[in-house]
Amino acid sequence: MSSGERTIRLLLFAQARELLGFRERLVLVRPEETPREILERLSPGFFEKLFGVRVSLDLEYCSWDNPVGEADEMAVLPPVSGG
Amino acid sequence: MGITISLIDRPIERPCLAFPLEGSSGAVVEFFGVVRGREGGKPITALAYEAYREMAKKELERIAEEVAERGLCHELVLIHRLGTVPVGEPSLYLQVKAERRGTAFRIAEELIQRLKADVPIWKAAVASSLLEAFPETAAKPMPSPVEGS
Repeated sequence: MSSGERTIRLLLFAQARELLGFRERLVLVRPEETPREILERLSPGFFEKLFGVRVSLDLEYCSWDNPVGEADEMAVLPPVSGG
Repeated sequence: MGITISLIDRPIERPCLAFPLEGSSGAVVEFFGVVRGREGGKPITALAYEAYREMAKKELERIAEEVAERGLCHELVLIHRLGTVPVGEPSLYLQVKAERRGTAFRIAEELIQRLKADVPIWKAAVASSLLEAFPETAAKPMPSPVEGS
């Protein structure tokens, strides 16, 4: 772990889990990285394969393009279908 | 105003609704969302629901607060069943008490719309032929907007 890096808990649901093949993983990130950069690093071309996916940091919906900062948990949330 | 939100992993039991009420609620709307036998035009035997539980509960409470606040809601009970829900069984129960029926129906409708739009819960069809052979792995994710899959 280089200086400034830290781990974040990454959770994947529904089609995202199907696509990447895992449910949960600790991932090394830099606070200035964005969720989009993190996911592109882990799964190049992800955003061309799955549309309408949202992201949350610490249980709050957020932008794909704001830095993760000190968040502990990032979740990749495909279009929901509850009810 | 009472708001009760539950995510459960067992069959939904209809909460007790005892009359007489205390007199301020002139309308009680109850809604059951029931699993139908077809999904995406194909026969199914169940729907498998998964949730990002902590965030789903938080989002439901936030939405319920917002919807109930604007609509003079007296009491709101929402139960969402997770895991495998067989055809014919309810996956969602909602009860709304309010002063008038317009308010109660509007709150119920808006809450369900917001749930379907924003609450991190997903369903996957469980096809009949697979269920017998592979009860655990029969859940197939809903057709998603994935290119070429």
